[in-house]
Amino acid sequence: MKFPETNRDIDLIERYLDGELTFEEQQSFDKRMIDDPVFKDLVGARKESSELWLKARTYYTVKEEVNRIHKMKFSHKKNILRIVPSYLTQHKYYSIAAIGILLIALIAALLFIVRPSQKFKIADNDRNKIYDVRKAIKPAEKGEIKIYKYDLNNLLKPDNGEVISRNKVIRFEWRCFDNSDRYLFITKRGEELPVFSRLILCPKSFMLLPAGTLKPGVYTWYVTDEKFQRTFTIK
Amino acid sequence: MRKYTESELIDGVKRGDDQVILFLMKNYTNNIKKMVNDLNITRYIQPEDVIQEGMVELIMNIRDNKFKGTSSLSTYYFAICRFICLKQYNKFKNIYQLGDIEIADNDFRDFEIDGKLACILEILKSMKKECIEIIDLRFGLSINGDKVKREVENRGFEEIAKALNIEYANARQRFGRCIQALLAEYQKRKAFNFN
Repeated sequence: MKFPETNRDIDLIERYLDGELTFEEQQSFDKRMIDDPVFKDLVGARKESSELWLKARTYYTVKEEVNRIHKMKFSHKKNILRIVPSYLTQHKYYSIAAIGILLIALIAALLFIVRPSQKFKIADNDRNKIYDVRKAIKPAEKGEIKIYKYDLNNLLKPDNGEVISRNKVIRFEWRCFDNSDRYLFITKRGEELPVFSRLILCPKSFMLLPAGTLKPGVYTWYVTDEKFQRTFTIK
Repeated sequence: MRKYTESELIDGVKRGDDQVILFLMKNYTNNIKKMVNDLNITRYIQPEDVIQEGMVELIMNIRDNKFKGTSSLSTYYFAICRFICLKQYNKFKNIYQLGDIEIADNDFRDFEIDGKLACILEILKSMKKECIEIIDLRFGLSINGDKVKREVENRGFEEIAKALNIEYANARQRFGRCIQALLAEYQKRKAFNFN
């Protein structure tokens, strides 16, 4: 395609459109329209461009109008939601899913934290000697410890009803079944929660409790299974 | 928000009533988002673009009296947007069927921004302001706010020179330069796109 290289043809066409051509020029113009296809194309494009230009200008004007009203449509929402990050408002479904997951995680965390602490409040006396029972119970909840039968036959010392002086070291003894871990619990009568607990690793099957650790009173002790308890008295 | 009858909507669009256009945008666009998402073509065109482009076409067609009223305005708008989706999809895929969408009726082909107009739109975007101004004047356009209309077929250069406060010869020369650039670019793009 050959493009007009000078302004002369354009000027001629504009004068033709304005009806300003002389008789000779008009004749020459008509002749060129027949003989010169490039010139004919140019005249056609000029006429066509006028209509297309109107459409294009209308299109952009309407587009600007729509854009302006579109902004107006969302302007009040922006005011209300300006504290919410834009990506949250744009990706609504992802945001809802993320909030849902967060809520579930929060509830799960609350259940995990609150439940053990309500069940096992550590007695306030001898606090520094008491093993954190939450740690003791945790593996059992996970199912990491197998339950072995620690019935009364396997709890050896102190014997049931034994009276022990406060000034003596107390030796606790039991039978060790295998190499799994055990938890020794000591509970004061009338109190629900243990005053002492400790993890004992097998094959060790005894524990020495220093003299004066327990205050005078009646106590029970058991290893792992609280169904089978032995009682002793500190005087 | 106030409710409008179909004729009130059409009159409002013709008048350029912002509230009416806002009403159309708020009430007619939900189906479009769903349609674009359902067609799974969001990698080719975004729902917001379809909505805006469709709204531009709708307004232009109503103002040009191309909307005959054979369907409801919402159906017409939906069809326009559907056609825009198809057109955009074809542009990338070069196929002519998209799910259950068929090529729109001849009625709807009127609003299609055809290749020639697309060329002019592209050129217009890159043109200098002074060229746009003088071409508008020469082509007899009057732009008043949101409304464009043609007042005369070809405005005389004396009038243009007066409007721009320049010499008559300068007006002719400037227009010559601008229209030459426009036509050269137009013919180049047309040759590239259609031959």
